[in-house]
Amino acid sequence: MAATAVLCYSRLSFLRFNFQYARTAAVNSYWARQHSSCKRQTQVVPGWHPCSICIPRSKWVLSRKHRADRPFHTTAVGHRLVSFLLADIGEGIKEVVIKEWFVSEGDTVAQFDSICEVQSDKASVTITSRYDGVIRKLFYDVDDTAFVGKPLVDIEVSKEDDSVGAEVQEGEAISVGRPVEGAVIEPGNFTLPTGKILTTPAVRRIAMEYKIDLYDVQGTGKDGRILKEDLLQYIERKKSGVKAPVSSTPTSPTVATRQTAAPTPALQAPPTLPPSIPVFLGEDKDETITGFQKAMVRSMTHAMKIPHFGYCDEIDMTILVNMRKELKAMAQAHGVRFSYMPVFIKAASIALSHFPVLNSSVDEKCENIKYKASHNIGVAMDTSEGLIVPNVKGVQRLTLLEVAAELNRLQELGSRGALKTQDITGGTFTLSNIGSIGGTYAKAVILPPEVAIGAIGKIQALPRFDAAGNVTKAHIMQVSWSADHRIIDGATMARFSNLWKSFLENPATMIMHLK
Amino acid sequence: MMSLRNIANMSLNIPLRAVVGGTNLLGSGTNLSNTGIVGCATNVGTQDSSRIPFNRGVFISQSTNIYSNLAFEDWLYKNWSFEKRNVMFIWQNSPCVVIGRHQNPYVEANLQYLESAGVPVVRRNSGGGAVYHDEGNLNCTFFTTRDRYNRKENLEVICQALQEDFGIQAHVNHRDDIIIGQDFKVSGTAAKLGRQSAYHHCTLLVRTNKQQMKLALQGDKNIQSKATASIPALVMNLHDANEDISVQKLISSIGRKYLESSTKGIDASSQQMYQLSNGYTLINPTDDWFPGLAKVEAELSSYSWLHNKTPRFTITRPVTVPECVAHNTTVNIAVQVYHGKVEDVKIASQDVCPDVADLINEIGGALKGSQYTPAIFNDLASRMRLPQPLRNQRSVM
Repeated sequence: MAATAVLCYSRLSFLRFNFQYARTAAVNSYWARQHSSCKRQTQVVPGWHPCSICIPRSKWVLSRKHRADRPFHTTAVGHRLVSFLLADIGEGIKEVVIKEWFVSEGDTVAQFDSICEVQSDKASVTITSRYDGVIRKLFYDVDDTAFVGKPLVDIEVSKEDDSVGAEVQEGEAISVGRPVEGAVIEPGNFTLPTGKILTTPAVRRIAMEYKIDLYDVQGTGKDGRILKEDLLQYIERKKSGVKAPVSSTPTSPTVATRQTAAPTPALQAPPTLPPSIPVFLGEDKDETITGFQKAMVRSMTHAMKIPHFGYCDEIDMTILVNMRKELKAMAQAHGVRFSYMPVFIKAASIALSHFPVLNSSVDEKCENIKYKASHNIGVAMDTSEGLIVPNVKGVQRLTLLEVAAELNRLQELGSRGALKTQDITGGTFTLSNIGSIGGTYAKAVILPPEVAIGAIGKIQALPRFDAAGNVTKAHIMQVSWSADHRIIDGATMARFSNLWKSFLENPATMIMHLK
Repeated sequence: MMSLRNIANMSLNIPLRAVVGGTNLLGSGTNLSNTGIVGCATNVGTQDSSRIPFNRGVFISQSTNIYSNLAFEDWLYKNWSFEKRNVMFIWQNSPCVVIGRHQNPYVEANLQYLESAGVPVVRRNSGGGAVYHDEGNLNCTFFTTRDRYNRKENLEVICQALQEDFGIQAHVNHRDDIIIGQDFKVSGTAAKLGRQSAYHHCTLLVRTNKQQMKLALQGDKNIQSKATASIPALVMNLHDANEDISVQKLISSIGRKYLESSTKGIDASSQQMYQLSNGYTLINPTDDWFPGLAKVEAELSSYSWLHNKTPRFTITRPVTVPECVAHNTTVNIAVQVYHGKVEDVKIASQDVCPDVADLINEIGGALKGSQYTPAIFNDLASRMRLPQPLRNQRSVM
């Protein structure tokens, strides 16, 4: 018997090698002959025998019962044979040509594993499996024409598998990913971009049995693979009630610290953030810098390579403040929220046309200056995510109302965190209204590749002497400019600042420069 | 300057778009769209993704290396989710010949000539026929989710761009080629569909060297195979139709048209669609930016990918039997090759003297299983001169 067993085994492996493209009818007839030649009493033993479904990697489990079961197409108790039909490819295509098989008969497949590649005219389509199971029959050879709606392969599926026959909606454990709603930053852990989970079919199966979402399990294998041990550990932990480590921790610590730092954002009509909550750390806390903070680290390190010089001044905003009510009403009539920022931006743009060197850019080695034609003036915004600097493009050809409207749009997008790349890139000059939060003088850091930046302080009511020598109430605002001293000298900056100041102190002069 | 690698890495890890603002504090002038290679994957199952509002973005490759570009195309197809955005990838290559996934390089291309000219032959992942690329040829790949896959719609975008900006009347035929006039083909199409994502790419002949193309695509006619056959067609360059056209202009024209276009059911003007779109992104397809790209590139440029994916074919050539064996005899030998390995060697002519036939069968038997090269016929002839044990050795000399 042992000798026959050996003989059968070697014939099996030989046949399997050349087997891939043989028709199943031939297979069955072979087995029939085999049995008759071996003269074995084959009895279909009606006992469920663990076969290759449950022992995923062992495809050739040799036992007498097993071999007795296999050749007959009757399904053994506990499994059922499902015909996997060729799904509609689309475009009204009725038949395709099989170009390559990725599985062979007897292979174990998991849901979504590739089964074959078909070609229809110009489209090459990868067909993936709908079920977990063992491939029992391939209906076509390579280069055969397969028909849509007809069986492609037969898969033996275990009866416990409830997802067979149902649309693959719920698969919680087998989910390949899930939409990430609020989760912001994933510290450190490298996960594949689409949130694809790397595991073996065995692990998926266990996860499905226990109704575990693979997304929650920490993978310790290569590339974040979830090994069987990881899953088992997770199950243990869950059982003992300890909260299992999730692969994406929400950034509550960062958010909390940000709240302490910035009680109100620098938006013109700010949605009020909740009052800052003090954070009491019992002991020292370590955190790697990622995301926004990391970006700031990099950009600021780079920016500080530029030799800055500062120039500060105060501006008498009395006239503008008195005009505010009228301007506000006019803007409202146009459906635009008014603030001083559009005035600052437009005044800056007019001044920039007199001093084009401030609207320029230098290259890395500071060998060439590029004078930018368009005034894309950036406005620093503090949002819940951090510092963002969107810019208003082409201010030189926009009216004040248009600038205001654009600014509103950017602020609204910024508060939602929905700014586009176009909004954020391409700036040539920046204004930072730190005064909306508080402060007078500041030393702003230039954003490369720009060459100048202005930090605007808050408007305070202060006593000043007027022309007649009397003390009057004046609304004073401070501005602090920083510029790249390699190409801009103090005099240029001072003259620019004076011009800008004159526009704001006496808005009527801006009329002179209307285009 | 923020390291570009970190931008890519960060965008891989961070799904939120606003983060982009932080990373792009130093808009270096290039429009890097890290609108987030989103960690949000598509839902398992048959959720109808056509109802999810989506944006469009255009990626422009900065490399003219065919392997890098194809590898990036494959990388994007496998690693990105297109549920929230459709992407059009525009690329050009230095001269090369690209054959379809299931084609036979010997049939499609003149391998000897191309090797001497230093023009690589590459197998791509999508089906379809063989094409010749050079700097006067533009490739566009349209990436969408499986349900949004629609070749006609994509080609219409191109036709509209040609019509509106260059006044060229082009239409799409039933085979999804773009035709000018009655029958001059300027573009060919191929596609690949997977479970969740799909892409459709096409070429556009702007100012290709037609002589080179003709010489490059002259394959070996003595081969029978079931591999996808290329269908020859009359071609012309877009430049012949409109002197003004250039690849750069075409890129901006098609890009704009694509970003402005909206799908049926969404009522928006082209201006609005353009505003809402994700704009242009310059792509540098290197492993630094896109981890895993080098591996794909290595596979694409490997010998085995090009040769050992060939479907079964039979090549028949006449072999002159050496004088020491038989006088003035030439026998037609048919070699059957499967996946790059010799499967069978048969005699294809009648009336062959039995000694010679035996000799050939013997040597043929020894050659079975070896890697096929065009030199196999010469090898066969030279083996016939050798004495018995040497004749059948795997590697002679």
